[in-house]
Amino acid sequence: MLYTSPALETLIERLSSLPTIGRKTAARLAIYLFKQPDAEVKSLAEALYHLKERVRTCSVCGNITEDDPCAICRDPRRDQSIICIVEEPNDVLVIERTNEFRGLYHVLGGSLSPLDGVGPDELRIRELLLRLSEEKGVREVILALDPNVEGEATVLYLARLLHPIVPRITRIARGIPIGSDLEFVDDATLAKALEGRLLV
Amino acid sequence: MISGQNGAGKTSILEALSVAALTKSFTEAADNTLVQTGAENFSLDAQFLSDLGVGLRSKVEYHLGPPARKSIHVNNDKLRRASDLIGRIPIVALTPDDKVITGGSPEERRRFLSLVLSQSSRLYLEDEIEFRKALRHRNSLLGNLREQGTSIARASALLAPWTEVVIERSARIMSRRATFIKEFSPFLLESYELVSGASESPPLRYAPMGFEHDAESAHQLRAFLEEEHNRREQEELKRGMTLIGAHRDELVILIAPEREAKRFASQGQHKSLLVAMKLAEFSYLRDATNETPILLLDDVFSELDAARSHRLLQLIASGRFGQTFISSTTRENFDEMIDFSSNQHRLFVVASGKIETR
Ligand SMILES: [Zn+2]
Repeated sequence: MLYTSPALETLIERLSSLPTIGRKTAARLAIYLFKQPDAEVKSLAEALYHLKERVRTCSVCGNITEDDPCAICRDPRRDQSIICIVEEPNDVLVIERTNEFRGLYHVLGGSLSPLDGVGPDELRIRELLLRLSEEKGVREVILALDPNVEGEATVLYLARLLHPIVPRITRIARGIPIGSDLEFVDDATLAKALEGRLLV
Repeated sequence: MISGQNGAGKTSILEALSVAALTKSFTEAADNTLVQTGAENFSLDAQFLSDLGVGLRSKVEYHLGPPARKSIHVNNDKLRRASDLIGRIPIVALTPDDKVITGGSPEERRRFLSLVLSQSSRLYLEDEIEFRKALRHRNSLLGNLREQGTSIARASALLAPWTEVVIERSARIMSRRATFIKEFSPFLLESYELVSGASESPPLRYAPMGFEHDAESAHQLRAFLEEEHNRREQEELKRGMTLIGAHRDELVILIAPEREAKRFASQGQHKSLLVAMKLAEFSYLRDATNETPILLLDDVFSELDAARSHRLLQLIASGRFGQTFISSTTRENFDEMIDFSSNQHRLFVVASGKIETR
């Protein structure tokens, strides 16, 4: 069904081009927004506008920031000798939440995926190599990529590439989430964890 | 037993069981073809009872979309992936289309291996899913490299991680298949005797790309695959496809030493072999999963001669198998061998889309 307002129609079209949003949901959101007070909608529009105007990627690590370089890269208290490589900016937040990592990050912007046309040139690998040649003191690179075949291939590719220039290359282990009952862990994770069992 | 005319909807009932247990039809039909003409979705709600008396409720919902949506719930929990249901409700189906297992291309026998092993081993299923994904990536990359005429050195570097994943998963899959063939053979021998009445034994041979050594050793397989890969990467680049891995191995069924069933078996031997493979699959899965599989026989009896038909029905009537669903257009042989008035056996008649209990 088409609405009688071209402006509304345009908004629905824009919204439905977003990931996971179908036309029906887009229409519902648009009508909802229409019913909101002016100020609400204006502040949403401003937020969208500032997203592109103020937010940028850090030229050092590729994380999302408003100041370049980002707060993590500028922080002198962080261990400059360890770099943790992740796929997306969101992964930085996830690891930061643990409070267990005090080194620096490098955001690749995805993982190798020939089916989607993503090769090494599409990831921030050149930037990584450049960074490693400039920052001499890096002792360890941690590869914290997603536990799927794309992540695995990316780990293998990077390991080969970084071997001659970084003394220590590690990857994060995959296992069972802490605090979850075994019965609620999905079968695949449990099967892999059983295979990688440890001596006690 | 579900009886009815051709096209009455007997197979749909068996397919529904297959979807509820395996998330897809045993006919390999795409999900969108399972939706009734004119409808936009299908929805299945099935309750199973394990051998230990534990209930399992499986709900599968599918909507044509676009985009097509499929959701699966087990005991009211939404599954993250369809594959998480596979193996929880072991199921064995035999249909006339399965002829290709003994007579068709190697791919059909790989599909057979894959279906049995996926239901019996969680790790195997994961390895297969990951292998197929990595293989598609590698093939896509090979295609691009060929198109762009990339230098060999650069192509090798780009292929390397995908080669490693494909080889690693292949070695695990292939060694698991080799072990399976060894474990499966006694079951096949036993059921072949029961079905054919003959004591000849159809041996199986696992032949992964000419690999002569112990195929059960993933370690040796990996070394072999790496060697093969080094020898053939140039050819792969030229042809734009992966030539080594678990997608190229073969299960050979023999009817006599060095006589491959595919070429040398008679019509009758093919039929005995197929039924025997499926009954052996049943026994193997029961052993491996500690759960009696559901047996689906879709329009099988019309394909068998009187003697084989009689022996198979006798086996089923003997209670040797668990719950068995049979679809058939004729009832003649069944009425004399199966007592439908007892609680053990039930007869349903399907006519114009309705099911009636008799
Ligand atoms: Zn930064």
